[in-house]
Amino acid sequence: MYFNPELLKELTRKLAAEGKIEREFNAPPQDLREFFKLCDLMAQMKDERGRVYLPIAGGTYQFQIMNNSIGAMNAFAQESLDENMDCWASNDETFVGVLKGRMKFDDKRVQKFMQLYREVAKRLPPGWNGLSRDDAVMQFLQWRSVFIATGSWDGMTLKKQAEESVRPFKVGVSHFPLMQPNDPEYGELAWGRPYENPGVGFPFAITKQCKYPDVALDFLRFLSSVKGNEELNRIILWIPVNKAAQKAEELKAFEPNYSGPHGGWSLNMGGKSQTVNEQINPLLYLGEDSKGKPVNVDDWSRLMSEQWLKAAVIDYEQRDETMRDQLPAKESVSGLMRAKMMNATEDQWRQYYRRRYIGSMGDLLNATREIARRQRQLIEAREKGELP
Amino acid sequence: VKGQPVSLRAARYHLQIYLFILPCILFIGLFMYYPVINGVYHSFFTWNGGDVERPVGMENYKRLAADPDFWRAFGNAAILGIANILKMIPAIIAAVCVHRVKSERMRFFYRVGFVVPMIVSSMVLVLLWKAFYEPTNGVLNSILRGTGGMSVLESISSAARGISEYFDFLGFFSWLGNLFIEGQNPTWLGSPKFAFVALILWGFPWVGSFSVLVYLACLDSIGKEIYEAAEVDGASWFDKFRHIELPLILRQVRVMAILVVMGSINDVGHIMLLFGINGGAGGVVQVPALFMLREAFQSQRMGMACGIGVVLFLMILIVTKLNEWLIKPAD
Repeated sequence: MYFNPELLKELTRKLAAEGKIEREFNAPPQDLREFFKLCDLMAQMKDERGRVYLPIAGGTYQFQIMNNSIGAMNAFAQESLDENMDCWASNDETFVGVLKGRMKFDDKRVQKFMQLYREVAKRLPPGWNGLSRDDAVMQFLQWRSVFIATGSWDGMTLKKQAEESVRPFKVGVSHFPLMQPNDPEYGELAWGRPYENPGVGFPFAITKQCKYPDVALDFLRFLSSVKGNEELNRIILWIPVNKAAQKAEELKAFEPNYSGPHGGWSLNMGGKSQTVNEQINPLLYLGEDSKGKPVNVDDWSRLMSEQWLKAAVIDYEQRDETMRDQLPAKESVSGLMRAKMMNATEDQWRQYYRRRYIGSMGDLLNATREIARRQRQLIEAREKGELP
Repeated sequence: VKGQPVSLRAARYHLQIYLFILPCILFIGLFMYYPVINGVYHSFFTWNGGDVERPVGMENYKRLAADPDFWRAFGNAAILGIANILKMIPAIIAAVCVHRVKSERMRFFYRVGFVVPMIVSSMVLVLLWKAFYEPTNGVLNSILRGTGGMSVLESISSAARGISEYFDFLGFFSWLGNLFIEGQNPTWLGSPKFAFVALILWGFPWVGSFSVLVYLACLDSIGKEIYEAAEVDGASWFDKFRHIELPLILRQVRVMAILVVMGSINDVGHIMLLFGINGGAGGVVQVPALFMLREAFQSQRMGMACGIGVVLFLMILIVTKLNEWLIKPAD
């Protein structure tokens, strides 16, 4: 998360002088509850032109970024969903879990988790759902907002834009605040700083058609060397892939955390369920429906229970059909590799096609096993009357 | 001129001419008819747009008929279609007003005024409207606050809240009552309750340059002597419109109405830009074309999307025929 240190100091100084908070802040509080309180107080303050401050600059994009920090607070759901014990609840596992009633949308912890999203959304500017990524950046650069949630990739742009804005300022970087385990309401969901994907690099390759592969390889080695990686990282403000490379100061807050909890369910089975998810969730975040009637977490549970499983069944069956339809193509590839292996005259190529043949056979067998498993689950659910 | 049958001998004689139009026919066939025929063909398949293609007969159409979301999208398109037809009225009035301007110079000035906005890209217009609707700094809310319009709207909402306690016509009064709350800026694009209002308000004052110019071109064919005769008969401003101008531009109105209805069912670009591919929170402004896009690219059901395309085509055909039947221009 980025922030405007000068504005933060200015506003918290005023709040401290009014006795509303104990001290002025140089950096955002790291307790989410305290952060919410500070945002609420700032939202009541006005700038010199009489406009209210919008503490967190945000549109849908920034909300998604904040989701990454809060999204891991549903890690509790893994206990009931993760069937194969790989520490991930895939969308298939989530589907089966909901189908079998192991996870219910009206579960108290599920509701609390969704309520927390609503709490965050409340602190965003009015109409954030219709604002774009750039609208939020504008709010931040124009000193209307103190905080903006985005990744390291936006760091350099924000830094430059802030330095060149009408009222220049130095951009501060901080971790997104976390809910503390002693919080009376959400404490039971707080399992620490969430796990972050360490896949920060970007792939490079040398193609078959490359005229000078040695030179290309040399260049790639230079890029991934300590010195090269540090320089690249300095220019684009990206997390270095080389462990020995020194990170830029601004990137410290973005250093991936490899050991925390991560999201406990995956509700996107396919297009239909994704649509249901993406249409119903904003109603809760915004707290109202198309008639202007309030929508609370109970309404969300009801709507999801009514619509999600129906949509997920369609997606599940479609994936099953697609996998079955792809089998002939997989068989063709496998047959082709076998023929190539048998016809190869040089040992080197025979070995190459042998590996490809074994790989394609593995792929084929995995697909058939997966289809059989999915079919079994569907038949069982149909027999037990669990399908909506 | 009536077409005459061409004999083989004559065709052979004019072979070069036919060869000249051949590339044109080929390109039209390749880029216009082939995709349409291909779409109709694939609507009978389970097709992911790539490697999976399996004939399923009428299955896509059956699923479509049973999908409540699809019919809800058509309901939304119907509301938008009616609104868009009503939004044609300002363009007719503007065209008549410009036509009645006595000074040639001023008339030219107004014409140019209507041509200039046509240069602006529609994408730019959508983005301008997005900024216009912005809740905190947006022009619309600033105008409403500055002119006192917001207080009027808040009073209307307050009155509607009162009425809804006793009488709520199809939920209209409770919706209106919840629309403008005192001290809250309307979030035109961000709130599901405003989504439809924002979509209908879009393009205000709805004086589309193209339609005004079409009507003007037709109105210019009316001779001065007709107006002079009408004045001698004591015809009022409205009488001239009702009995001279409207019957003459009815053919153009019909064409524009067909285009508007087709646009309401087919057009999706600005809805997607303003509300996203899900049609806003709760899918409030989901229209059939948006539904089709999601089926095609989000769900990878290209066969189903082709089926939706076929249904849309048939719907447009029916509405166009209805339109032709309802609006009969004067001969």
